[in-house]
Amino acid sequence: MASAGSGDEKAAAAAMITLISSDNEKFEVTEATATLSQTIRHMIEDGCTDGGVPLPNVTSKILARVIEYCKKHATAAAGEEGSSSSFSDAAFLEVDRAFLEELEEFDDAFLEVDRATLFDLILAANYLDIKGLLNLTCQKVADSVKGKTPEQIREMYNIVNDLTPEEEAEIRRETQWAFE
Amino acid sequence: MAAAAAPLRCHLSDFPDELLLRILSFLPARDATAAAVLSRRWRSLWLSSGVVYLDSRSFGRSSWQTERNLSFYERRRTQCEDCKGFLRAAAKALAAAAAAAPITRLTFVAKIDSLICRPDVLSDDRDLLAAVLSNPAVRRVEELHVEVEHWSGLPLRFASLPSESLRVLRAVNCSPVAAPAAAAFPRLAELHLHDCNVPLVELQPIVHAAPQLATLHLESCRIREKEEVSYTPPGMAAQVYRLVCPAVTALVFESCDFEISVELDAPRTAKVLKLKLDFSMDRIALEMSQDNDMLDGHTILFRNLEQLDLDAQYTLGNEASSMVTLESLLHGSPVVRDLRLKLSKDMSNWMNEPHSVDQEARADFNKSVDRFRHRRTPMRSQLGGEGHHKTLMHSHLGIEEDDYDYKASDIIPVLSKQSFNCLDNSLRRASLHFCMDKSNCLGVQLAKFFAKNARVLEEMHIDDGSHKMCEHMNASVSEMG
Repeated sequence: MASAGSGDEKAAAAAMITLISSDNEKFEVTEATATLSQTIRHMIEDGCTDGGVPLPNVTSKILARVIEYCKKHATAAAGEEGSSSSFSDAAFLEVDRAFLEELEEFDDAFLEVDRATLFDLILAANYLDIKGLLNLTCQKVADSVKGKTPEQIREMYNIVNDLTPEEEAEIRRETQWAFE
Repeated sequence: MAAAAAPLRCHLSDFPDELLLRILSFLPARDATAAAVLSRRWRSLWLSSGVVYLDSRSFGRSSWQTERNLSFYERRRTQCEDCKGFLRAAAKALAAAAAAAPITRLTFVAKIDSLICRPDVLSDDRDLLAAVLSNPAVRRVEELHVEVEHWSGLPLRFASLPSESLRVLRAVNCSPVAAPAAAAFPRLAELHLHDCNVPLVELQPIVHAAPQLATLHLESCRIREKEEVSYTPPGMAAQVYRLVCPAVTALVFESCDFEISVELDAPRTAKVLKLKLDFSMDRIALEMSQDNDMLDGHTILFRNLEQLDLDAQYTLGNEASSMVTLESLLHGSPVVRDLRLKLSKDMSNWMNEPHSVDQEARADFNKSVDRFRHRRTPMRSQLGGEGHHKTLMHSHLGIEEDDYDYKASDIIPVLSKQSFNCLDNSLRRASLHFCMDKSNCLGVQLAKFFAKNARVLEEMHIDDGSHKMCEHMNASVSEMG
């Protein structure tokens, strides 16, 4: 029935989803926030979110941060979908721009975390399939090795060099151009 | 315990390959090469990625601070040195990557300085981009992203692209230049142009050369006929250019600047059509040619169209002609399921008004919202038929037009008196965004029209602007059968 469909729609708009971290802490979030995660979106579509969504790979500390990110970006997505861009009025465009800047600032501040947290965020974003957060955090790691020598990178990230000196010398010869 | 777990977590080496590859893909070629020397695993990842990211910005030995003290000639020379260095490094990076696995994704980000010093470094009139792309190692690239740091008008010569394998092309801040007629892009499926100059005489042959082109996405582009700017007196849409894109199923024109009128030869098989236009809807002309199919006496424009997004403007006082366009679109799309309309008033005449006028408008708006809340007139009386309403307040950016009579029947007469195949049989979801300034403005009338006439409508979303009106207007309307 059409009316039933719309009723569901209405209920869904207000629906809350419970996320359960690995240490058994419960987080109530709106569906709009939760569905930034493709993993959770699929669970909702399959109708298996009753009684909460257990996330055994994500600790409460990390989940809290992930939710913080999703909340901010869900509002942003809603703003984009909704009213703000339907105006050609200069004032509204300004509001739009201000909002985007605010979002960028939020992302920058969000990434001010220690390396262990950053790695946990990457793993959580990968598991939950949150593309924006995954790109944001991976970009941060990539930025951190830009301009560094292989030795510096190994030290930064505890990477064990299992190449023999001969092999390494050969690779360096091949890639000499990058170290000029 | 946590202390024991923490250092374990700190190892990048614990990440699955896909995550490390993602990180690698964010690294410019030079830094990615450093990653290749880290360990065996990184070496093989780097070899298998097939992704190369060339960033000429990382080759600027000279920063602008040091350049400032240089003479023009010296600066020029440093730039050329950088440019040569970049070309050498790019050639080596490409050769090294291609030796391991075919390069399938190439990202090229260029600083504008490094593109200028052509004559000294490059033979003939090729630019840096063409020089990089002429490398045989890029012949198998499927996804290409070309980005210039600042607006440049840098020619993106399609003749220099890997035509055989190219599937996705994204270009930012360039100006596409068509390849000679013989060139073909048999696999090109997506073309995204952002902040580009798009001369239609160049775009058309490109579209023709790409029979698989399904997505054409132009955002913030300047659309003109030729590369040179030609002056058209205001109000004179003398030039019309016809753009034929036969295979496109998703067409997006977003925030583009049209310098000439464009006639789109409709992609008749499109399933998704998104048009975001910065001008009034009545300037869209739909061609009703003889070879189109007919249904109940109406021309079918989009036989398969399921989703229609239209973000356009309407001219105040001339809503009827905008509605004629909408009428033709509705008749022409007999199976549309999902309709999204964003309507805003054509503000082109008001953009130069002082800011205070704007604030005044908001105060007026709040007043009208208040009136709307306390309105007595039942909504249905305003729809169609003979309803003749004097608006309580008609204010548009603070300009009172009390003598302006609104006849509801003037605005959507064409719509309300006929039957539409899509409304009778297919339209499930309608979404309307508009700026609500009075209780029977165009958006409200359209909402009522769809609520009344769309027989299989399941969802209706109404957004009337950002003025907290959602509280009483954001309604899901259902069951109108």
